Amino acid sequence: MAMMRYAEALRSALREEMQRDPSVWLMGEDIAVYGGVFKVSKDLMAEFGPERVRDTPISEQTLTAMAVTAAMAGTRPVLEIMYADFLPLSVDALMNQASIYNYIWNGQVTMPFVLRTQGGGGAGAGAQHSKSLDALVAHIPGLKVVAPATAADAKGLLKAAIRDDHPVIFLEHKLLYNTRDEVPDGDHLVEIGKARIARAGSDVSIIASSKMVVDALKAADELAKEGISAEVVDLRTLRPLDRETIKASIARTHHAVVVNEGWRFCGYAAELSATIMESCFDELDAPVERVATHDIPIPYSEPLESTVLPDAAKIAAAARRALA
Amino acid sequence: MSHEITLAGGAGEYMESATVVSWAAKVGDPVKADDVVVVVETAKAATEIEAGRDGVLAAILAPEGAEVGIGAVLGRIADSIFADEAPVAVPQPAVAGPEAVVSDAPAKAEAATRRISISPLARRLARQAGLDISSIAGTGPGGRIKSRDIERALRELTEAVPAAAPVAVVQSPAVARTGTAVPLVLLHGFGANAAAWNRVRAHLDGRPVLTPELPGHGWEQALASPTLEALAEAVLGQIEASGARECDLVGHSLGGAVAAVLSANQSVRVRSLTLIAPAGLGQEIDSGFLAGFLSARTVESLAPWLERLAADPGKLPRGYAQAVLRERERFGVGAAQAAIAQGLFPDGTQTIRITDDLDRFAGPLKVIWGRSDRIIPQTHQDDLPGHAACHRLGGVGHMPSIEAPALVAQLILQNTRSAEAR
Amino acid sequence: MRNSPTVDEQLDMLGRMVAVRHLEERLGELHKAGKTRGPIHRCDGQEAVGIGATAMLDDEDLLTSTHRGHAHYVGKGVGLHPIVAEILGRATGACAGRAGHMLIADVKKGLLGGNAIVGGGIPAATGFAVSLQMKNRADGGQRVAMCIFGDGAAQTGICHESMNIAALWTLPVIFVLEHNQYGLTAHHSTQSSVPDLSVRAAGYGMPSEIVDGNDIVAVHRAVGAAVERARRGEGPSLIEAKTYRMVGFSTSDVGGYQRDEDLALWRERDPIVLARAMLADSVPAERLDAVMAAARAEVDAAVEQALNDPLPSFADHAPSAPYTVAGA
Repeated sequence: MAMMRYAEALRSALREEMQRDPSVWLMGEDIAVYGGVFKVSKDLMAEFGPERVRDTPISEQTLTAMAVTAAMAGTRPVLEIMYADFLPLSVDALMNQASIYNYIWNGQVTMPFVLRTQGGGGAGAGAQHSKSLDALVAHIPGLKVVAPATAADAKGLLKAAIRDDHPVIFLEHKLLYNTRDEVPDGDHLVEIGKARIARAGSDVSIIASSKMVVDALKAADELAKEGISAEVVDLRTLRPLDRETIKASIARTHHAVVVNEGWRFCGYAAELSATIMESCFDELDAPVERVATHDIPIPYSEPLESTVLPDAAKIAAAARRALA
Repeated sequence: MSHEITLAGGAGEYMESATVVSWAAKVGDPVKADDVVVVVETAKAATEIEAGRDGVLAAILAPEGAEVGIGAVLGRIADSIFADEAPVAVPQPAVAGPEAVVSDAPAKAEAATRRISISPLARRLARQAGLDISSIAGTGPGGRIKSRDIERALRELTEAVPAAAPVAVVQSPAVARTGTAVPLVLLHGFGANAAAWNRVRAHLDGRPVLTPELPGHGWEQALASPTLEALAEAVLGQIEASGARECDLVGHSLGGAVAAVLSANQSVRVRSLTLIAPAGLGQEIDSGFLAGFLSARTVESLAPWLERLAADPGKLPRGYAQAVLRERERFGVGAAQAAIAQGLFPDGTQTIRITDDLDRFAGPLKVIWGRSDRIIPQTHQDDLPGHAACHRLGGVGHMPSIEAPALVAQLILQNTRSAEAR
Repeated sequence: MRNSPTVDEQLDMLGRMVAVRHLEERLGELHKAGKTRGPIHRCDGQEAVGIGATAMLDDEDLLTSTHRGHAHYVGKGVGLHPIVAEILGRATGACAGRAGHMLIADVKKGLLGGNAIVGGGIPAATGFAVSLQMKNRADGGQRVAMCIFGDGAAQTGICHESMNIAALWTLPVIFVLEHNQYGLTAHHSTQSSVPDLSVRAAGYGMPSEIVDGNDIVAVHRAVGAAVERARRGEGPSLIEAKTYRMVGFSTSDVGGYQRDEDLALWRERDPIVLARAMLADSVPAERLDAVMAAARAEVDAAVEQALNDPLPSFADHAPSAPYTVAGA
């Protein structure tokens, strides 16, 4: 085990996979010479050369479409989209191209590409650089969507994503890059589609992903002081969803708080809520509580931004409502 | 099909709600169509409501004192109490606003009958236990019934009235402060809990009652070393917590042995002692029952053993097996009870003795035993001291408190009155 | 002349053009008879572009097409029966009935594939070219990617983005602009600030050429030069082939916006008539008749076979596929 920052864990995954497989290559804006605005690809161009670590023009729509077909033609591109807010530019390539080919071409092709991006608020980056668009990509059939909360999972999931023969959207969070935790040594892989219990508890299940797991754990600490035992489920993968872990948790606690940093209306938390209703209805002792971002643009000023975003206090309050 | 007794209101009378004053029939009573079954009081006057058809009063949905809205279903008449399987309704809170005027009553009847707010889990637990959710008070937001409410109701499951009638939800702890009156302390037996006394309590003339629970039973934590003395110590703590300085003590089976040990305690004076089929008077105890009761994991495997408790199993509470299993699941009492059985009744042999305690007890001592007891033989009465009064109940098994609650209550009160007379 | 097709190659291309034309005619009949689903986008009059541009490609070269791609499919070597069966929604179709006529792909033939998001094929071919470039550098191969797209697609933002990246990275990709004058019903003069779209190539430092899209030999020569350049690793080219759409946008198009005199003019310049005329001196008429008859017969046989083929039943996708069935 080694203590590692989330960003370092990602770089470690990229480096190991590029060493292991010469068909893996990277492209994105400012990722090569500069090493990425969040320094995830720092020094990789020096090690692997400009053909495998490519700076690109600001052309997200085309770059995403190129990742789709480059992957079909025998290499494994890892595309960095600098901010999740730019994902709408990628959506045609994801929804009308990547999503469909394996199916409508009757299994003739695979598409082993990874689209890495980072989202989330809390950094004062404003309405066009703070969004969490999990629901936008998780909505699309044929895509896998992962959103690690820890450095260990960031590394293990990125390595698994690069090895996956199908498109994986890899959602990072700008406020997680500098968080540190223990990362297993060696060829550390985390299976896509498996959630984890980040904290065991018996009274209420808080189901979250990405940075919201950090907030959920803080909320669980607060709740513990009140004698409430909260279980925190870290989804890690948003699609395909690990329904079994969710079901097992709610069968223990009978109360659910679903958390997502995206907008509330038609958001990912709504999907979680519906899933729980479908598969755990008879286990529920209270309505599912939903914690998500207000349905407005993310404002700039701190008191405004912190009002609209979910946080530990809002999660704890939702848990109390569930247990009322 | 059952017939609903509804609050319709008199012609032309402006009325939004009414309060149920009294029911003229109990659940299970036969009624005629023109019998008055319930009296409600509006702002103006008391109104008598007739049954509306011949049959049996199958359910009371609005208990006395309930405030109900126009159109609310107060109760149901059915051909027999068992035929009452219609969807249940709740007592209806007062409906405000002009839309509730009487002339519209039939049209509003449906709207005024609000469905029960209950969580899916609570609904499932209630169905498994055979509980009627219409009679359970919800403590969740907006009165929603949650699983905790079902658990409470299950603890009260051995209610004295037929199951279709409301199950009272007791929210106060089993042991409450009793003030200055001398409380009657009722100690349940092995594998039971405070709810075992519900039927008897209905006949105790309002005496203040404490129902402590044995460690490893009901809400009580298990003891690491559950000797008879340790059990007694724990129960004494609960009685002391009520503030009582003296009490009349009643114990059933294992609770009887605990009561005998407590009879000599120094902190709460025991005025009278009533023991029902007590343990500790002889060696034999039904090892098959103990093993079967403790190992059963399903209703099907538990129910036959529970039937051994009664001379007439039909008198056991509906859903008894489910309630026992539910308590094991929710409170994890199975292991604790197995430890007690292993310590006090190893290999079907009672290793505890209370004869010395009874010899020493100078107050009124009464022992009640069912002639058909298959758990502890009633012949153990032969070893009682001479000052004990013995009552042998025909057609009753190990559970006189369930099978003959009125008589048991009467005997208990006799014993306490003789203590008061001293 | 460099990159001129041989007589045999011309005969082969003539047969393919006739097959495509006859396919479009048969599809028109089948559509009227209710045997097809959805709209059919015919390419009558444009056959020389698709057949001529793809004639020099190998199976390892990758082609992206459009929603009007029947000539591209046939030119890239996909069998007539799998094409027809796919259009008729049969289990025996190139994609087992999942794709339909706009989206056909055949990996073994390097067709990847039809694309009904106008412009979608342009970045797709560019992406292919990145992988092919890496593979070529690794194994000395000379694979290329080709994108056939229309004048409507040329107006998209991704066309600009893709051509910039292709030129920037010297990618082995050939952009073949099949300029048929219309984007759905809108004439190109209402969509573009310049009549000749290939002038834009200069902005990317990319060579370009305008050719008569109804002259299959001219198309073959121009595209052939561009393919050779790409195979040599010298980067992308843009070939603008001027042609004309002789039918409506699709079978749902009620028409009325194409001038009769334009249609008459272009009918005289029918690419099949021109291609046959160019062979008249070197090939006996009987042989030309036989080639054309054989092509039509092949289409008829494919249609007959496909009409008798089974419809697909819904089945799970391959276990390796990333999809989940609803409720699973």
